[in-house]
Formats: sequence, structure tokens, C-alpha cells
Amino acid sequence: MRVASGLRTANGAGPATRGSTPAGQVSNERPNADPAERDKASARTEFEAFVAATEPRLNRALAAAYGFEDGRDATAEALAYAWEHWARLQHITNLPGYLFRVGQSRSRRRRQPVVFAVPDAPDYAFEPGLPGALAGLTERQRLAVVLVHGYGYTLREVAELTGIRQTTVQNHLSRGLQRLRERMGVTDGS
Amino acid sequence: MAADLKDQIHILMERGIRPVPAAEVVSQSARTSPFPEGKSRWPGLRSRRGATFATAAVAAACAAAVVAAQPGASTGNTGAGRGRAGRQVPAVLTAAMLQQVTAASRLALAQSGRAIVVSREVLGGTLQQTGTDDISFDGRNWNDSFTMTTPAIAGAPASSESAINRVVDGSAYDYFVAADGLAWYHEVGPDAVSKLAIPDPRALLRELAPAARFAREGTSVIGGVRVTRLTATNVTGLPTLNSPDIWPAGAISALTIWVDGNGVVRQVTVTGKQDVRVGMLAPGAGVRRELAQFLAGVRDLEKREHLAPAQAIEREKFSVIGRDLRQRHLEVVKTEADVTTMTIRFTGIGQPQIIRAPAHAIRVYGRG
Repeated sequence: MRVASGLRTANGAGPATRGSTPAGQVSNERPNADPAERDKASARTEFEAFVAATEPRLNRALAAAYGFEDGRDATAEALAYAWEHWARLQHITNLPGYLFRVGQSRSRRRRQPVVFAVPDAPDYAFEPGLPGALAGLTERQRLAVVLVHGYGYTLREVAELTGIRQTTVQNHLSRGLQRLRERMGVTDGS
Repeated sequence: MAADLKDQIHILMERGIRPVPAAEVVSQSARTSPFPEGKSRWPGLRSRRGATFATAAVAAACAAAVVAAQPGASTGNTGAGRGRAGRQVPAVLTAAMLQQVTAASRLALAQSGRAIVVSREVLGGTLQQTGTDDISFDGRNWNDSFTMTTPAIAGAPASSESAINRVVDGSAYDYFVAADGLAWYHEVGPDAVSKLAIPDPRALLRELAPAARFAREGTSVIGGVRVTRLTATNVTGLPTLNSPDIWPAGAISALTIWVDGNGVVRQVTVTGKQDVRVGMLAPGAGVRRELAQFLAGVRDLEKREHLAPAQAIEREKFSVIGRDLRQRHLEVVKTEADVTTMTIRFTGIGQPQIIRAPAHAIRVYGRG
């Protein structure tokens, strides 16, 4: 996988650097280090790098779909699944997209309304009706509006992450924005 | 306030999203090693190690659950164990364990916290209403941001209403759609605070009793915290919880709580069930307009009196429109099950909640 292998090279922890000691130098490794422990540590490092790179995108997408709390739980469960099956999953090409589906399937059983509650938001940060209006969109409309409009993702990025076709994302985006503006009473099209 | 909608969405999401660090994922994961058992280069070694890890994890989980519920007790016969086939064996909590849970929860939520309350009412298999309340409290200050959504029923269009009720230093504020648009109002009439009727999400916790015989049903993750699920196996053993003051939506038919490693309740799900007599209109009666008026009256009652839809229907039947409908067209009356499910999720337990008075609010007297 790209992220993990890049990190492996950067950290000098890959097989090529770790296994080969230049002539005349002493290896830092303990000669009798447990190979299992070494694999575990290496996997953990790779996984941490993967989480650092992927978690924000995954969390944003699942929070957009299910609300902050359920979205976070879905992200945690998807990442926990990735960790538990890391040896198998790390070779998947579009692992963030795969984990988005894992998060979706883990959250689907809840079937509860979406909540966008912010505990300590000052009144002037955003329109107080925005969380309710956003929650009133369909799941796909919310995904498109939040990721494309709120975070500036490209249609292609959203399509790769969510498994929805680009043209469909575009449709959901325009309908979602229109509905959001209607619900918030915005009429100037800004 | 950010002028652009995209900026507002960005700010909202960034304020609400809490990151999930890798360390949390690894520590909360049921398996401590990412390698599947028996598929490594050292199958014998790995499977033995895997078994050791798994056993340690199960033992730790059992110990945590029991220590939380009953300090100093033996883990031998009270904790959730695993049967020979590896299946979770339910264990009923003793009175002392439940007392420990209620005490820990009461203490943790005594000063401040936050609760997301999600409710859903289904009448005769048809969804009547869903609602969400985001309630935060800090000492005497309270904030309740709620949304009620009613799907399209019997020709009436779907509707959704949102509002915010807030109490800051004894002053009452609310934010809702008035005739002149969305605005904050400062209510200064008598009993302005009590008229806001912000529900206390901790009320249910006070009524948990050992007679309900809570049994362990497994573990899951809520809010990034590993929790134990406890289900009441005898819901009739909760007489005070069944009183209309605490739970107005019929007799409780199911109650589940999720408890963290410190014995604090993180989530509660309650289901209530009652039989409601529902009037049915004869086919082809041609009373669509009256019916729409009747339903508008029902919704108005729900909003004004904070009634459940089924209760509002019963009340509205005695209005002028309702009587007229009954006399002319209401021909069939049948009994249907009205099922209300409510989930309360506690977050920010014991953490200070920032609840400020709105910067600008229109002062109104006695509107309630």
C-alpha cells in the first residue's frame, strides 16, 4: 500500500534498510530480537501512518453521513476492523473507500436520526439552524454538500471515497445545496 | 457569523468532529495483534501467542466490568464469562453492582455533561415522529437544541421543526421560527425558566432498580469507549420508572444500558408500548380537507402541550373539527400499538459545558 510503504522507506524501517548492514558498521538491532515482535511493531507503525493519513477523510465522510457521534463511532469501528485485519487489508488499492463501506455497514443497524450537535459553539460562528437543516438532507446529499462544498473535495475524491459515481455526486450536491438553502431561507443563491 | 454557507458548514463540521487517534483504535480493538491467528510464518508460535492475547483481553474485559460494578468482589462467578463454545454467557447484576453503577453515574453527571436524546414513535407500524434533543448542562445553566420531524401522514405534508431552549444564570432564552423569522428571544415572564421544560436526561438513571434484573449482553464501543451492554430482563420491576411523570409513553417494554469501565452509564435505550384507540375513516368519505385540519390541530397540540402524537390525537378528537369528523365519518375505531423508543447518549461527562447567553435576544414577556 502506498502510504505504508512510503513510510517504511522514510523511516528506514523497511526490509532493505533494516536487513542490510553496510560493511564495517555495527547493526543497532539486537541479534536475538523476536521476529514476531518486530513484525508487530512494524505493522503498528504502518497502521499509525495509515490512520494519520486516512482518518480525517474517513471521519469527515462518516460524520457527514451519520452525525458527529455516530460518525465517530463508525470511524472507530472501521479503523478497528482495519487494525484487526491489517495483514490482509493493507494491500487493498482503495482502502479508505473500503473502510467507508465498513463504517457504513457497522452504522446501518442503528437507524437513528442524524445529529449535528456542537457543544460550545458561539452563536455567531454559524447559523443556529444549520445543523438541523443539514440533518434534514438525505445521507448522500449531506455527503456531497459537506465534502465538496464544506471541505473543497473534488467530485472524483468523493466518488472514490464513497463509491458513488461522480455524476451522481454532482446531482446530490446541487439538489442538496438547493434544499439546504430553502430550509435556511437563503434566497440569493450565495 | 461566517457569511458564506460553505464556510459555515466547514466551521460546523470542524467544531463537531472529534478525531480518532490510532492509539485509541488499537487499544479499543478486541484483538491486540493485527495478524490473523495461524496465518503467520510461525504458525505454532503465533497461534499460541494469539490465544494468549485473546485470553488476556477477555480476562481484562471481565475484570474491568466486575471491578466497575463491584469493587473487591471475586470475578469467578459474577463476571461475564465465556462458555465452552466461546459464546458470551449473560450474568445478572446483583443489587450491589447496580447500586455501584447508579452511584458512579450520579456522581459523574452531578455537575456537568451532555446528552443526545433520540426518540422515535411508531403507531400501528407507521412512523409518526422522530425527535432529537442535544442537551448540555453545567450547574444551573442548560441548553436544549431540539428538532422534531414528522413524516407525511394521511395526506398531510412532512414537517420538521427546530428550536433551542437555553437557561443561563436563571434567565430563559429560546431560538425558533417566529412570524418575523428566526431569532433569539429572552423570556422574562413568570416561571419563564420552568416553562421552557428542558428535560433532565439523568432522571431515568435515578430510577434504575435491581428488581429489573440487568443481564450482561456483550460489549461494544460508544463514543470511543468500550462499554458493557446490560439489558433489563424484568422491566415490570421498575414501578417508578413506569410512572407517567418519568416516562409518559406507555408501559416500558425494554430497557438497555451501556456502562463503561468506570461504571458510568454511557447510553440508555428505553422502549415504551401502549395501546391506542385510533379512529379510521371510511374509504371514499371525501373528508380530506377536514382531515388535514384535524391533523394540523393534532400537531399544534403536540407542540403546545408537549404531547406524544397518540395523546394529541385522543385530545383533538374532542375539538370541533374532531367531533364533526367523528359524527360524520369516523366509522371504524381500532386499537393499535404505539411504540416509542428513546436513546439517551451521555457525552462530555463531568466536563465543563460552555453555555452562554445569546449576544442579541428580543425581550418578550410572558409568552412561555
